[in-house]
Amino acid sequence: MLFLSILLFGQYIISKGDTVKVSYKEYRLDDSLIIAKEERKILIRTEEAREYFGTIIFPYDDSTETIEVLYARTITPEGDTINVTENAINRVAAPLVDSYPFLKNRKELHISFLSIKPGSTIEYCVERKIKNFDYVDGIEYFRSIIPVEYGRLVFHFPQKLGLRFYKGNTEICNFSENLRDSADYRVYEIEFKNVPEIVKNEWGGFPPTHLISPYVMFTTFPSWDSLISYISFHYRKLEAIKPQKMELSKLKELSKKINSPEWENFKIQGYVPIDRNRSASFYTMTYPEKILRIFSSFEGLSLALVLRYGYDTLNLIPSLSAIENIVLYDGIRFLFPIQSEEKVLSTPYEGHIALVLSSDLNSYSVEQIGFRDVLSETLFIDIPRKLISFSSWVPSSRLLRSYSWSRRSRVDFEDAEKFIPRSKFSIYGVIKDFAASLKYENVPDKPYFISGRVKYKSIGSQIGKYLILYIPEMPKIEPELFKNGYYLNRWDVSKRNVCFIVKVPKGYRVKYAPQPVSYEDDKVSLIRDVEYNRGLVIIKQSMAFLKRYFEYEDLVKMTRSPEFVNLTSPQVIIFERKR
Amino acid sequence: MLKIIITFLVFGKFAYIVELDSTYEAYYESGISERIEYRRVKVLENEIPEELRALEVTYTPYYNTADFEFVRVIRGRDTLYLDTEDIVDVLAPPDLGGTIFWGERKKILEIKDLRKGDILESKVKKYGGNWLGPTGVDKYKTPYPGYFNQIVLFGEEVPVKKKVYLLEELPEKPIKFGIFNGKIRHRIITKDGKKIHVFYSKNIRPYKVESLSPSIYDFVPKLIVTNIPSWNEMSRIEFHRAEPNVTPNETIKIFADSLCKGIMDEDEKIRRLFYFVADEIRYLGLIESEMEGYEPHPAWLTLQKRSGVCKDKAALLVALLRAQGFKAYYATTAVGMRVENIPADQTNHAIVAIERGENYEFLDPTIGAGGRDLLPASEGGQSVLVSREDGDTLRTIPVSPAEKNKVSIYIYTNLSGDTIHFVYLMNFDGAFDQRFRRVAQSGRQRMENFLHNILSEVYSGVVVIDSIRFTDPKDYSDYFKVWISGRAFNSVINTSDFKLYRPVCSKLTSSFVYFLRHLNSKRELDLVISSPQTYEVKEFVPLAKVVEPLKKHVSFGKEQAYLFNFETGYFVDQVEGARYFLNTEESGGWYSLTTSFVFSKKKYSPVEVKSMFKDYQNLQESENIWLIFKGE
Repeated sequence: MLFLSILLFGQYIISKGDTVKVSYKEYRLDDSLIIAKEERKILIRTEEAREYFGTIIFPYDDSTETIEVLYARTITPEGDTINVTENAINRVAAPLVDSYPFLKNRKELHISFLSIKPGSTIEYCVERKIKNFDYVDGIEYFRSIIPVEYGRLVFHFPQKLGLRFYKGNTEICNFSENLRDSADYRVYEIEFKNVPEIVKNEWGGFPPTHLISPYVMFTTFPSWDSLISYISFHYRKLEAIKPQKMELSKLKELSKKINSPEWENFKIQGYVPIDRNRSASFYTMTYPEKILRIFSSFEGLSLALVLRYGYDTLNLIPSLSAIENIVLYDGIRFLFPIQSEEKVLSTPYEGHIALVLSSDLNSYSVEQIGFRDVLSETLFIDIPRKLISFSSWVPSSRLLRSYSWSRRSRVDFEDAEKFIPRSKFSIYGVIKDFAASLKYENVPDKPYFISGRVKYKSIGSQIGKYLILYIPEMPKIEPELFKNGYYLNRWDVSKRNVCFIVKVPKGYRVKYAPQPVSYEDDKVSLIRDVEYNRGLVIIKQSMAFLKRYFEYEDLVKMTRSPEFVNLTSPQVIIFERKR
Repeated sequence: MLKIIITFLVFGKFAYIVELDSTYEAYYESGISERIEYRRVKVLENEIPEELRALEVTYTPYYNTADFEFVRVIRGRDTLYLDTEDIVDVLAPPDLGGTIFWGERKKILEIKDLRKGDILESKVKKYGGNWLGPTGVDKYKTPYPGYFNQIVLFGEEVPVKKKVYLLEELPEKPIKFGIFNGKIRHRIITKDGKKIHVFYSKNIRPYKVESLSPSIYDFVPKLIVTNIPSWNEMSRIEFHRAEPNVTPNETIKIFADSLCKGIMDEDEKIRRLFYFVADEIRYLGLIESEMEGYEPHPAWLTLQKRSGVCKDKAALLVALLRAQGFKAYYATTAVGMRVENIPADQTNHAIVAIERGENYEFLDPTIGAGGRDLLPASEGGQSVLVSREDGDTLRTIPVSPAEKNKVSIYIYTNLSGDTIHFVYLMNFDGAFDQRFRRVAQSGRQRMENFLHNILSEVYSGVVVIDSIRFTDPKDYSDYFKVWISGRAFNSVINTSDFKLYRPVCSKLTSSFVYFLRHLNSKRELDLVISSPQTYEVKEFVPLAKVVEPLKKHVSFGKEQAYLFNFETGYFVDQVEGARYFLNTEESGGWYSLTTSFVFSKKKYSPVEVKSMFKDYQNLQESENIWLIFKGE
């Protein structure tokens, strides 16, 4: 809906002169301390940039880090310097502490810049010191939502640390690098100039940053085996604590154990320790806990580490930053339990690579998460009886348990209309009566099945001697809306099969019906079969996406193909009254 | 047996119930109070809801305190007291989308290993005032010094077996009270010579929130107790608090003069000052005064820092207006909830009132930012208290009628070969101006994407936009307008004899109405929309090209509530402009299709929503129409 889009706009910038003039970041590493210094100068011209950069947030963990503001100021267009005052520097709890009090060390430093006018420059420098780390691992992106004029990233690190780097998308900007040794230290220096801004696709399909931004990933893990061992080591410890085995009398003792620094450290760090901005998000922070709860509650499940899209162990350094999420694997399917629902199929990760840990956590295998998500629908349109019978296999968002609409009450999906609303059938005519029922809602092994009947006062549009019946087209994709990135095949099913069986009314003949279509390449498969059989017109339509992300050029090519256009264009069957 | 069945039906689907929620409160001469909150909850499910995994209380140092006296879990015969040393005391994350830093803190206690059948009990002691105020010489105070007031809701999203609120009355400052949105029982008892008001309810059904339903303060049983004598007194207190900070100093006077230089017209001056405060002052709440949340910052400080929240923006605008000779006043109101007519602290927002003649004109430079109107239509009908030296009564902001908040679109459609050529003239008046102007303020490309998306949803085939023009988003001289011309491919079905086209006016109209998807036949609560509003989309097609143009008129609605209308007609001369836009030489007039929706009210009862849902379905089913174009 249009207005929803407007409400969702929020903070959004199309740069009109807003620029990151200088971005400088420096890591100084030794065996027990990381010092990360960040300096930026940002020219603000628009209200949107003022809102977006007016308050800059730095998440941190005060049990392992300190973060100090070395300076923060606004330079007005008139040349005045307005330093950020004390009341505009706030250290607050991270929002997730509400739900997870044991994360009390998670904090956010908010710096609110003052007296910003169009043409002001904000400048800041913060220094973060990190101690008590087992490894070094992270990712730095060079692209922002406004253009970056000049940037520099420097790593100073002891050679024996074994820090390794992996860079991507560097062709997007003017990029240069330099690696030099001095005594026991090594310096890796990167310069980047004229990085264009990221312009978001507002209607979904915004690609992950690692696909569109130049970046450098770094890690001290020597191999994927060592990385998996590290994770398994922690999981093995945690797996021993099974909540259902707890006794009230032992609760206090156990609580202490759960709150041990080791446990906290693992939960806090998750698996992306250096990427602080990311680790402050809800998912990364708490997801392992949820996964573990399910993992330890059901037998036959394995843990699966899903790599970010496009990454494979074969072409990547072993980095925790490459992991997007942790899901479960039951030997057949990847399970994606999100906060309040448990999906059987891992729709959000189709096309990704996953590292599946064996149930004893001693080994792992690399698996591709396949495309499984299919919607199948059949409609029998009986024009003479003014009746449509339908059945539908609902896509894979089957719920293992009832969905919790609110946090307090639980509502079951008893109502078929939640899946297939009556309004879907209004395109065929004036509805007299609508009934639908949901089957298998309590049978987790079967997909939801919905069937129903719609009675009409009249079906189709009668214009003179013609009776026109609308056949809904397949969902359209408008490439122009995704030209700033990728179209993300995520919000819908990956395959859609729809079959229309239309009974020809007496006294009429078929004057027009859609043309058959058949097309397949490595990205998409499109089929429409049209059959005439004993007074029936049978139209079978199928559209399947074989990739997860489509670059703009691919999307244009695909959507402009005659077959795609045909399947996504309005279609009708026209019946003509016989004389 | 019956009791068991009823218990199962009522409580069965909830993860827990509140067995007892009891509060004892005593207030003092100064208006501050001391309260003890006891709560007993029974867990009914194995899966523990998030709100029971941790208990929390909020407080603001220097203003009030809050402490857990105990938290315990009762399982069968065992009772486990949770160690209050495990309480986490943190500075709360900033409020309102990360913009307000007023020093609120939270004490959080994690509840581990709660299970089905457990009883969770907690007792909390609070002392101080009941609002957010960060600093000050006096450690404890209330926003209306010397007065006590409190709002208590009797209902939750889970069933409550019993809720009790006991208030010890101070003889020197007796209270009055009001009960709203339902029943709450009341009696007075005397204990140890103290007069105690007992407010209570039993077996309170849980409330359920629906999309676009009113604030829970507008439908859950609500008790307001207060000893503030009148609205007049509140108005006076607000006046004396705000006045020093809204009085223009030299800086403000000079700045106002510079903004209004060369402007003679009074309305124009008001607009200039309004748009400056609305657009140039960033929404940010930092601690600058002893009564954050109530006392506006000095106008010069807000101007200097170019930031502030609603109260600060309102105060700056009052000061700028006064500097230009207007009788402007600071005013308080509530957003998103009703103000009951009992003098108590029920407001959450500040705006500006200009006295012109015998009336006030209201301006809101916070919520109104980015729009042409000086007061958003969404605030129509709300109560407002103007801060005056002699006090004032509670007033009502006039409602902006549906015809003033209008989307009107004219579409000129022509067919050339298999291509649809279109021209759109879009007018966004009243409340819609702000919404669409804000999109345009984010840049031309964003606006183009936005419009492309609209048209892409409307036409089935491929859309190519040839030209887009729209009002300069910073030009507030007229409401926002958009002009588009372009083509749609594959939107026509070709047969051997004729072509079929499905008009887009109905689809376009529906795509603009954000709340249509919230309509359903099972509504239980009122539906609240932003303001009364109108949508009208007219599509014109060259009459000569249409085979057997249908005459159709369907209309569904309820008088004084809403109207869905679809009709076709013929025009010969009225759309002369269309010929120019489409660059065609059509003759024989135009065939028109018009879809219009009118929503005359802000609030619709469940009965009205159900009938609106049905009528909308009827309209959707009735307006299915295909046009047959002559073959070529």
